Amino acid sequence: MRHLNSGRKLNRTASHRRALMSNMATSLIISDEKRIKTTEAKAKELRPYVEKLISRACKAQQMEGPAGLHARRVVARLIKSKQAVQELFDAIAPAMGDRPGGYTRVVKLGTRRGDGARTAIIELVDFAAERDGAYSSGRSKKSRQAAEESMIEQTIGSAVEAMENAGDAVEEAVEDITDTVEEVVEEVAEKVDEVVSDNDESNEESTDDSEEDKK
Amino acid sequence: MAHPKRKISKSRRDKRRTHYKAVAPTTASCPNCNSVKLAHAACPECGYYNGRKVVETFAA
Ligand SMILES: [Zn+2]
Repeated sequence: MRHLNSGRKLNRTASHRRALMSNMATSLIISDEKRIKTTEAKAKELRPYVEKLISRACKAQQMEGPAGLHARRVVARLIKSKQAVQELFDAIAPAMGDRPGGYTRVVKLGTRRGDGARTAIIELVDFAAERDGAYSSGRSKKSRQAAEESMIEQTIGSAVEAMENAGDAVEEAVEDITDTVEEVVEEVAEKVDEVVSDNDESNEESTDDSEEDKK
Repeated sequence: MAHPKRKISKSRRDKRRTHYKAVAPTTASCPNCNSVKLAHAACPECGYYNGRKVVETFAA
């Protein structure tokens, strides 16, 4: 029977495991990015552990006086860092709003070099959404479609622009060619004129000679 | 103590082992950059998963 056999042992003794969970929760809460990279198994074990801590911190917000303090002390038993407890109750819990659980997200990353262990990232969903900026945490199919459409429009736009540029280039080239052709025509005309005038002069000379002969 | 009566022959041992096979990992193509990646995992090329940038990669 697998009664009371839930959870992973992670190759550790009970106390070692407790310390590991405490350390990982602290790391996740204190980290600037609100995300840590570990093995997939540890990330999945950490998920329910921190979710419960965050739930408790969120519920403590509505409590008054000693009840809220008690919640802090219960959490402080599980994560040993005062700084982490403070961060959890004063920064993370208010940021979570009225999210009904599911504060964390585990994303698998593939195996790592060295021992080939499957790695993953575990992060706090609301803080991840803040970091992405443009991307909201839950993108609907509609918004995804809209993004794709805008991508297509952009590519079409750039293609049209490229074609217009190409058209301009062709026009310029045609202008250049007509210019050079005109220049050449002018030059030829000048040369023809010169040759013609030379011929005229020699003709005149010859007529002069003939006149002299007559004399 | 109980013991096997016969040594398992090479033939029987090897026949048993015909079912020990390596299984290829399930792959999928990345919707963001079209490279091959593990299914249900962030893309190692571009770092995207589920339409979001998840991790920084050397490539992108
Ligand atoms: Zn990709």
